[in-house]
Amino acid sequence: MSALTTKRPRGTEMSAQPAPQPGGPAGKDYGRHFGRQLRKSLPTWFMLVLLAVLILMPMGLILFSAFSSSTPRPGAIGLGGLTLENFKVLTSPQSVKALGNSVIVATASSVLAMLIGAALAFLAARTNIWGKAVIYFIGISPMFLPSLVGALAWSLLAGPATGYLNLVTRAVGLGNLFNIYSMPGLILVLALYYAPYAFLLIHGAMTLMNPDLEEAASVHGGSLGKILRTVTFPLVTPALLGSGVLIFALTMENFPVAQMIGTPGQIETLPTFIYRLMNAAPARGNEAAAVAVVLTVLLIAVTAFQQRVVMKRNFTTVSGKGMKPRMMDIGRLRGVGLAFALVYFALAIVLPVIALLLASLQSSPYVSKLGELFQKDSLSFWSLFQTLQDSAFLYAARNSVLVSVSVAVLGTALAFYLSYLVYRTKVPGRKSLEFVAMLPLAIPAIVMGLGLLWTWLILPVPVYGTILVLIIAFIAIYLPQGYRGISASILQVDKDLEDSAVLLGSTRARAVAYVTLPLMKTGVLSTILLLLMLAMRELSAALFLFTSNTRLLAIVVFDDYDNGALRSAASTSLLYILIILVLVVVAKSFGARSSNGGK
Amino acid sequence: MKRSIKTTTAVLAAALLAVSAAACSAPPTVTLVSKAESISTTSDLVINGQKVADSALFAKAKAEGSITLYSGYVENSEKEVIKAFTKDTGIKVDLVRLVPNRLLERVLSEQGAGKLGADVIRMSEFSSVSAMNKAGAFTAHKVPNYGQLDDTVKYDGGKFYRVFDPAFTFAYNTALVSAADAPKSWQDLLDPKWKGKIGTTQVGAGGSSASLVRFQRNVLGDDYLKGYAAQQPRIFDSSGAQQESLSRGEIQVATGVVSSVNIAASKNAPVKFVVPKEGFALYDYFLGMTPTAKHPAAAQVFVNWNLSKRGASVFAQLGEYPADASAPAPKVMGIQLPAMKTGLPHRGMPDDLAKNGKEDQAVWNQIFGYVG
Repeated sequence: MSALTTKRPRGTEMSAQPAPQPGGPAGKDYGRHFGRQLRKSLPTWFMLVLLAVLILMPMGLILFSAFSSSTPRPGAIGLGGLTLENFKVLTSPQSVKALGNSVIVATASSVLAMLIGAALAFLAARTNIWGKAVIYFIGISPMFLPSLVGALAWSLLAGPATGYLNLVTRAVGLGNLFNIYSMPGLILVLALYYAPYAFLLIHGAMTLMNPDLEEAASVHGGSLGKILRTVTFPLVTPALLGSGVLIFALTMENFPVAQMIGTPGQIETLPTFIYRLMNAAPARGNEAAAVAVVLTVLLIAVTAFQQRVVMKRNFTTVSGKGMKPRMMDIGRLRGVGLAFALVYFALAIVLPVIALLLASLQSSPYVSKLGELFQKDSLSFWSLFQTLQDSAFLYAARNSVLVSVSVAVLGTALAFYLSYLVYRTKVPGRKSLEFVAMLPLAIPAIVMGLGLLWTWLILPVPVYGTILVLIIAFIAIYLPQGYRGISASILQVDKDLEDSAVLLGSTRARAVAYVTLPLMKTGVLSTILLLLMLAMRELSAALFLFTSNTRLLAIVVFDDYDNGALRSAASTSLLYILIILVLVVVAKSFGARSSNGGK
Repeated sequence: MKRSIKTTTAVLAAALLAVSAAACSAPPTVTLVSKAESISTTSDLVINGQKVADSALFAKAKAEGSITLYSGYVENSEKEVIKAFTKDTGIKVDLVRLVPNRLLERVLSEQGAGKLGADVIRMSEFSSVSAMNKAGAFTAHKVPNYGQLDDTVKYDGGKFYRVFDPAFTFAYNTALVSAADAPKSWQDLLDPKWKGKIGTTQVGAGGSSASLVRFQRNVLGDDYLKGYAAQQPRIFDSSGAQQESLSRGEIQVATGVVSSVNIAASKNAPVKFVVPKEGFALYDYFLGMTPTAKHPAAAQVFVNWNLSKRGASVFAQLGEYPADASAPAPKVMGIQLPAMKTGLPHRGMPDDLAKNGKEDQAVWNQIFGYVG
């Protein structure tokens, strides 16, 4: 190994510049040297400019507006009204409560989501459980359901008095048992729909894990529990921490669930607080920005902590050796594991879909008894067919697909390039690149949406009002997720493999394409899928950016809900899920081909 | 993975087949807006005997074919209006519907960037419309009956108009509450039997809530609000969400807009509104044409139509009070709403709202212990 590393491969190291040759024309050499310096730092500069427009400018506008007495609008930006007045809103007891609620909800739901996700990932990746493909399917399937739709479905299922579950418990004489509009309800719904994030990241890490260490532990007499505790889980620490922080941030900034489940139960969180400020009459964008700044600082602190933990150690587990993760015999726990997975599936998918179906078929929005649903003419497919033919729906469906596919492909490419620059090269400023790329994680999407609106109205590029601005916005917002997904797997692939290929005469690009990328296949595909789902589901960021021609499915559902058109919201939601399902199947079939049949 | 998808699909298909025996018939609905009594589109556009556009304007408008409307009006109601307008004139309407406050933000931003995409803007709240007007989002257009409209209808030389006022009162779920038990007055809502079963929108939810709270503080007093808060109402962020919750029976009684209740009832929701003896609130909706309209002729026809007798009649059939003082009060769901002169409808006046808005908001938030 040391022989290989003495000669540094081309293009990876900035510091290893050869000194100017003695005797040559010094000036020319210096120029060439300088030129090369510049050329080599070009990727960084290019990236920085891109990230500045994508991320820094919207953030700057938000920050500016937090300290300004008027919201920045095109033609109305001035430094005249700088003030700290906006931060006063944070001192009210209610906003302190909202902050407290947010922290409680985000902590509890991310812990619950991690437990669910990690357990399923472990079952699917590393045990001899029955029906592993099914478990994998269950683990990721809630991603087909946008949290917006999940929240809608759960309010139908377990709303006080008339939720379908309450109809059932009432029919068997138990009375009304459920009220989803409560703290536990909010935590449950968030956890259900954010568990797949943990599942995807942890599953990816567990399949890539080198089994040698576990085998060694096993040979030396370690029990299953001890191996898991001291070898397996410590090895997936980056994935665990990564998904933990990701889920914490996402649940903290989640707006649709908080609005549909929390608000009716009078549980304020920071995102609904921000939404309310934005929606106040007149809009209090400046104060909303002030709240957003505080939320941002909070989340940056969490992200920084996580960064420190991941950076401290070397987690490389994929090397040149062939490897196949060992399957652990969990014996009788297989039944428990399967039951656990099925219960999760029922709560996250089956019951919500049934609720949506019933709601979209009901001819009257009101039912008092379960039996009423089965009377003649009480259910009809009419509304569902109406929605299917509705031009607004078809247009929104087309837009959603276009946006999410573009975001998945372009976003993953960008994330890979960034991740490569940061982890595989020594270009100057790569740490700052990473810092900037991770920033959107800490900004509530709804606020980022406003910042992006201002940005693209101000920039002299005519993308505002087109579908392009939504693609740009979603790439910006989901860069951290893409970057984290790619980084987690790039960190696990040994750099020496790619360097060997270069040493043997390959170009760097070829080495990346034929060595690094194939090794990262699971990670890259997971990231594409992740971005596809995220973009397909996104609501908050689009709220300020869509026009009548660029409405997305999520916007249509939320507007229907907001307008009280619940049946239409339910019909659209069902078709929304179907479209997502089709996209996933298509994406999966691509994945299967590229891996020669897959699993 | 693949097999599980296949299985899921098969199960779903079976379920669908099982239920599809239950037919795909349209649920019974009520037609809300009747056809125009008389209409002539051969040269001038004349509806119900009133000229809405002369032949030159109407020909241009038909050639333009459509308008883009930015609206803060309740989507279901706006769609009914659009349906009637398109039926009358053949001109299509592309609707961008946003809650009023987001609409304000959107219009100001687009206008500032010189990219205003609307031909016509409909918006509640005088302060918001004034802000748009100040930003230059409106251009003057005098409707044919301009001379007959009073100063509470036309503003700034025809830059924008007050078109109608929705009535904000309360409503109940008829499946859960019998007509005999139903509350008849605002005071009835303080009866302990409604504790935990009622709802209201929060004060900042829009111009509607602001006008309602103004009415409640003016006519019923702050103690009334305290009594209402003590009933532990569910507080909603939008009247649409509240309406749906009432229709589904999650709550039994809630504040409600007459036209929304009317539309919900027409779609089989068991809801009915009440005309309380203390009166109820009205809030304004305005309409204006933009200077950058891409369909200027069609936009003019739309504004003319909105302020015509036909327009007034369409709004009245939905349950709104037309701004034109000569138009009769609405009668919907078999209930005749009281005329303006009875003093029961309390219109939120722009200057009164502007003067007290901040205080109303603070007082309401304090009484209801609400973040905002």
